[in-house]
Amino acid sequence: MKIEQLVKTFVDDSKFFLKEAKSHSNNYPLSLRFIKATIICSWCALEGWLNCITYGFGTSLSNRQIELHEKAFLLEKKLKFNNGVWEIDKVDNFQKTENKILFLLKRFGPHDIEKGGKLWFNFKKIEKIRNGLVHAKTGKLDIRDLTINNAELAIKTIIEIMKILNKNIFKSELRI
Amino acid sequence: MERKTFYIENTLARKCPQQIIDAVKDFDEEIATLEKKEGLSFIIFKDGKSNAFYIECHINADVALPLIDFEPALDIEEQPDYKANRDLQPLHKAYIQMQNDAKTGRQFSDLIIEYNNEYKKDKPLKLLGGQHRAKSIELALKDKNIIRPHGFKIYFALTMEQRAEIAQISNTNIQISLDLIDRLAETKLGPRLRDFYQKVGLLKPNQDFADRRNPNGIITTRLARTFLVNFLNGTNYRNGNDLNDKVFDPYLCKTGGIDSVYEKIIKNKKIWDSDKLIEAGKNFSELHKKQIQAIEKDPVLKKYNEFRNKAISAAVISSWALVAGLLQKYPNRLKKFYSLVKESKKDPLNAKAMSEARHVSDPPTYRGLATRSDKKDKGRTAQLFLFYSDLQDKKKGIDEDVIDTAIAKYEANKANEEFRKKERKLK
Repeated sequence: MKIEQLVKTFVDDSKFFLKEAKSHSNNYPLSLRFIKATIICSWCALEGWLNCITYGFGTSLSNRQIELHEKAFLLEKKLKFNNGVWEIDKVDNFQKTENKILFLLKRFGPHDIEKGGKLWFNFKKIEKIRNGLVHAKTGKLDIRDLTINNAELAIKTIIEIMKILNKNIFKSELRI
Repeated sequence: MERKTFYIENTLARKCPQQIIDAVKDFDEEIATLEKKEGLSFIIFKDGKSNAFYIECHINADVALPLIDFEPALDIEEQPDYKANRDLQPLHKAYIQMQNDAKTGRQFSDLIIEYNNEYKKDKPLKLLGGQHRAKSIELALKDKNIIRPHGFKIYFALTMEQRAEIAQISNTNIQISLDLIDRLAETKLGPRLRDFYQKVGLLKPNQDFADRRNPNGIITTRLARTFLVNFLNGTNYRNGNDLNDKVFDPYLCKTGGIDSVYEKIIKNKKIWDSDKLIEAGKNFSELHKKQIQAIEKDPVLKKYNEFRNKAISAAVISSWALVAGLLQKYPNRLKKFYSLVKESKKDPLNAKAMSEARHVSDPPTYRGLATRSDKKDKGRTAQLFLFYSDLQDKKKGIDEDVIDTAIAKYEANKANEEFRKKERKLK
């Protein structure tokens, strides 16, 4: 299976886990397992999908087409100054998911996402829950946020963002 | 001129009922046919299948048209509102051609009519078949006052069953493929295109273009024209040296007659003698043959005709020809491009890998590279050939990585180009 197909299977996984979470809603400990899986898989789908695009653009576009710092951003590498010339270093420089979305939309859309809007609000909410789960630490994760509603919100938000990106960058409807 | 008898019964209609004779007589009195004017008799025939009685005659357009009922009923008594004819297909190329022909004086024949004055008495010529021809005649009369005699088959005193059967058979025809229309039009233009493809080996000596898509891999006229147009478009491309950064849209010739771009190009008679074009044609012919041979040798893939004939898919042939034209200024890349046939151990186009190729933005229904003829598929395929021609590894063929990278490159170029366009507009 290719990476492009794999990232899309995360969407199917998260839908599957949500269904399970709902079907065990009267057994919270069991339902919680599926809620966690739903949120994490949704995020994996978005992140993997974004990485496919950024890597594809970063490796495909020549220096005539994009600026060096843009290329470094897409490839998630540092820039270094070598013998009087800027070049892309081998050292990784990972970018936040949020920044990748904003950059892709602005640079290739070109489209601004409304930061005060509901979609962005939901995205930040899901990001916070996901970060709390992945880097679980006292004060970072509110267990009360791990609900079926939020799991459902995670899938919807992630799919909506992917669709907006697909429509603006590739001018086509993403069907997932 | 007086006629001795106004009708003759033929041998199969000897027992013509009086009702029919009366109806024919009535028709003869009411309608100004050419036969009547010239003093000729009608022959009454009896159709062996439906047992319906009919005559054949000729009527001028200006006489017939006001009397034609274009929407006759099939079942006059029970279902008078349901018409016998199919809907017109106003955009069908054959119909548009028919209209143009009518305007230049084309005479049509075998328009199927029932003479019936039981309802809509002012229009007793009930049209059961040939509505596109009749409408074309009407248009020619209206727009250009073209008056010509046309051939009619007139039925009399039909039962509902007879009427239905005649209407059905009149509205059934063997679909003539647009590729056949292209081939006929090309024959009219002369033998040059056919000669060229015979010369480069894509057609055998004395072989003509295929009249439809076929499993045998014989090229159609449309694709033959497409190759030529794209090669010349490629050689004439004058927009910078950064081929790899561009998004190309190979041209697919229109079908159903003559393509205007192709027509313009062949006005220059010198094109046929171009060594570069002949070389490209020969290389493409080799590619097509090797692709067929390689797939036929593969026990698993040989059942897939689309893999076998991948080279003459619309996306591949148009892109290949465009890239061959574009690379004329880049001898090293052209050499690598033409080397694809020699360097490939399996099928040179790697049709299976192409069919499995996907981009992250593609819907689940996407069937792989070069399976359709839309802009995206042609553009991606052109990018694949351009990318391949620029590979430094002389032995490398088309593999999964090459295909995926080319698709990613096409999408990146397209997104970047769109952005630049919008940026320029804002400035």
